[in-house]
Amino acid sequence: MFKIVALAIVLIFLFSGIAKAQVGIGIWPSEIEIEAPFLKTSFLEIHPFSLTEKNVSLMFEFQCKNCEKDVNFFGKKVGSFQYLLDVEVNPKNLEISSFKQEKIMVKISNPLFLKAIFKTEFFGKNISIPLYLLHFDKEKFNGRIIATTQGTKLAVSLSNKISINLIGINKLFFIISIAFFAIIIALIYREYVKKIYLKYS
Amino acid sequence: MKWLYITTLLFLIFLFFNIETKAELPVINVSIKFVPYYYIIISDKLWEGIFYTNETGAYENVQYPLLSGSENNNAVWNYNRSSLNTEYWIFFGGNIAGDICHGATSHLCSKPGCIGPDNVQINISYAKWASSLTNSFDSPNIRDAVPFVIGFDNVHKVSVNTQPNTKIYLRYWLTIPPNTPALNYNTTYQIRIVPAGESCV
Repeated sequence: MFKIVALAIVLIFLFSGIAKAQVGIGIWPSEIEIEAPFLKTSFLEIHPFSLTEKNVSLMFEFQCKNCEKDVNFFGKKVGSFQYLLDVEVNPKNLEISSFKQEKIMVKISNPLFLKAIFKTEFFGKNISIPLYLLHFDKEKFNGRIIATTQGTKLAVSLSNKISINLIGINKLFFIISIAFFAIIIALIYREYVKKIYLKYS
Repeated sequence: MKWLYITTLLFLIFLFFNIETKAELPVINVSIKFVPYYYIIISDKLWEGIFYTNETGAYENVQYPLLSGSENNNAVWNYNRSSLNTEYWIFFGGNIAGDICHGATSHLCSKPGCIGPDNVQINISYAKWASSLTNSFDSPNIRDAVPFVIGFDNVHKVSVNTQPNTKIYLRYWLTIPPNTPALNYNTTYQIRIVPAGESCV
C-alpha cells in the first residue's frame, strides 16, 4: 500500500505544473551491440520517450563513426575506403506525445558485397571510385542513432552508441569454396576435352 | 561423370551447413537484466532560448536592446531577480553516465541562414558560457566562461562523465563588438548528449 501511495505522489509531482514547463526526452537502449549475420537483415528497436506534457518532434539519423578506413600499400597510405553501410532508420521523423514512448526500427542489412567508395589523390586531383567489396570474418563498425528535436528554438539531440559486427564470409570457407570451384571447372574442362577427343578419334 | 555429381553434392551440403551455422548467431546481443538508458530535462527558460539583455534587463529579467561595444551582457535569466540563481539548467538522469556538449549552428546573423549581401554577423566567439554543478549568484561564474563554437564543442564539454541525477547549471554572456549595426541577430543553440567518453561531433 505504501508503495502505491508513494508512486501516486511521484506521479502527481511529475504531472503537476513543475513538469509542464520543462521539456524532458530520453532514449533506450543508449548502448547496443549487434551481430549482423551474413546475408541476413537484422533489426534493432530504439525507444525515444517524452517526460513532459509538451509534444516533441524528433528527427532520426544513423551516423557511422569509423566507416572511413585507411588503405595502405607497403606501409604507405594510398587512399581510404569509405564504407556505405546499409542501415535504415524508420521512421525518420516522429512526434512523441506527452509521457509516451515510441519505437524506432533500425534495419541493418549484411549483403554479400559491401558498398564502399575508394578515395585517393591522383596527380593532385581527388578521385572517388565506387566499389563493391567482399568482407571476411567479423568487421566491427561503430555508429550511433541521433535523435534531434525539430522546429524548436533549442535543438536538442540525443545520441546512442551502436556497435555493429558484420559477419562476413569465413576466410577458410572462402578458400575451400574457391578450391572446389577450381577443381570442378578443371574436371568439367577435362571431360569436355575428353569428349571432343573421343568424337574426332 | 558420377564422381562429379557427388563432388558437387558434397560441396552444396558443405555450403548449406556453413550458412546454417552462421544463422544461429544471436541477432541482438543485449543484456535483459540491464537496459542502458538516459534522459534529460531542460528548464523552461532554456527551452525558450537564450535572449541577451542589458544591465537593467538582467535585473528585471526582461530583454532590452544592447549597445554596440557593450561587454558581457547577460542572458535574461542568468540571475532570477528574486533568487539570483540561474534559470538555465539541464538535468541528466538514467542509469549510465553521459557527456553533454553544446554549440551554435552558425555565427549570430541578422538574416535567416546568414545569407544575402546585407547580412551582418557577430562572430559566435563573442558569446560565452559557463557551467556549474551548484547554483548561486557566484556559480556558474563569468571567470570560468568559455567562448561558443560553431557545431559542438568537443573540447570544452558542458559536462563530462555526468552521473545520473545530476543538474548542470548554465549562464551565458555576449559582447557586442564596436560599430555593430542595431539589428536582430540570431543563431540556433544546440545541445547534444552522448554516452560518457563518446565524441559529440
